[in-house]
Amino acid sequence: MTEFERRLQQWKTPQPATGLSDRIAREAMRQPQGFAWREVAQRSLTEWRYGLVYKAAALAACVVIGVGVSVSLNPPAAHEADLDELAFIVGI
Amino acid sequence: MRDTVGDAQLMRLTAEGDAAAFRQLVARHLPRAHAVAYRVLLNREDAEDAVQAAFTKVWAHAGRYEPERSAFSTWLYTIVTRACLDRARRFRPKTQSIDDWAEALSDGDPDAETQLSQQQAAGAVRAAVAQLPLNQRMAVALCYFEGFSNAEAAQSLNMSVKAVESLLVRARRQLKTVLGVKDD
Repeated sequence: MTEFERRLQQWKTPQPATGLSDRIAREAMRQPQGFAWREVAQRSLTEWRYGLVYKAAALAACVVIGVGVSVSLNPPAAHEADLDELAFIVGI
Repeated sequence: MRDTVGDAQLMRLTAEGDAAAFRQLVARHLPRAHAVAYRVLLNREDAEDAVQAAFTKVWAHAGRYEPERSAFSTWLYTIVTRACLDRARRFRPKTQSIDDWAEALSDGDPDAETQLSQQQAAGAVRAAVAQLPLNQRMAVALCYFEGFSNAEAAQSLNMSVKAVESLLVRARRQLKTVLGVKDD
């Protein structure tokens, strides 16, 4: 064993607490099996940093879609036609 | 670190909801997983939380484990390392409690001076490891303390063997400097 390895081994770890194994197993088994997406969904809602890249991308996509929809629903030419139609209806 | 027939069998049973099989798995692998988590997170409380999170994932995702793709221990330590990294990034590191020291030193030696010397030596190593960046600390915990091969550590850390070796070289250099150990 080298001096370096001997020095490192001076730092020992404590044994797991008594009963930790049973406690861990018991706590773990309270979770349902096979539903990883639930955990992901919960974390993404409770931790703002979790999945930040995906959240930012989703937000950017919403902005683009929103702008696109807004522009397509309110084209400049349609505004004049609306005014003409309104005038006809009113009887001017 | 080879997979045993026992681990694969226990995981198959765990995936079917067998509580006794899962408890046996936890009991078998907890000591080492706890040691890894403790070396990375530097205190018992965080280590316990990390291994709890890791084994909860093992239970919840047992159906996703494929024994033909990797040994159970490799799969487990991938989860353990992620749980440790996740815990370290989300929470401030806590100081080590006096109970941790007491248990770590307890080896039946009544000599107070020897105990003090051991405590100081252990503290120096802990402080040196604590100064390492998280990824280096993880590689050191797996390879230098728990005897993982570079290949095994690379699989668990989801990086190349070269990347692990690079981490270890840098960590070793810093640890030797801080601990005042001369080159071998």
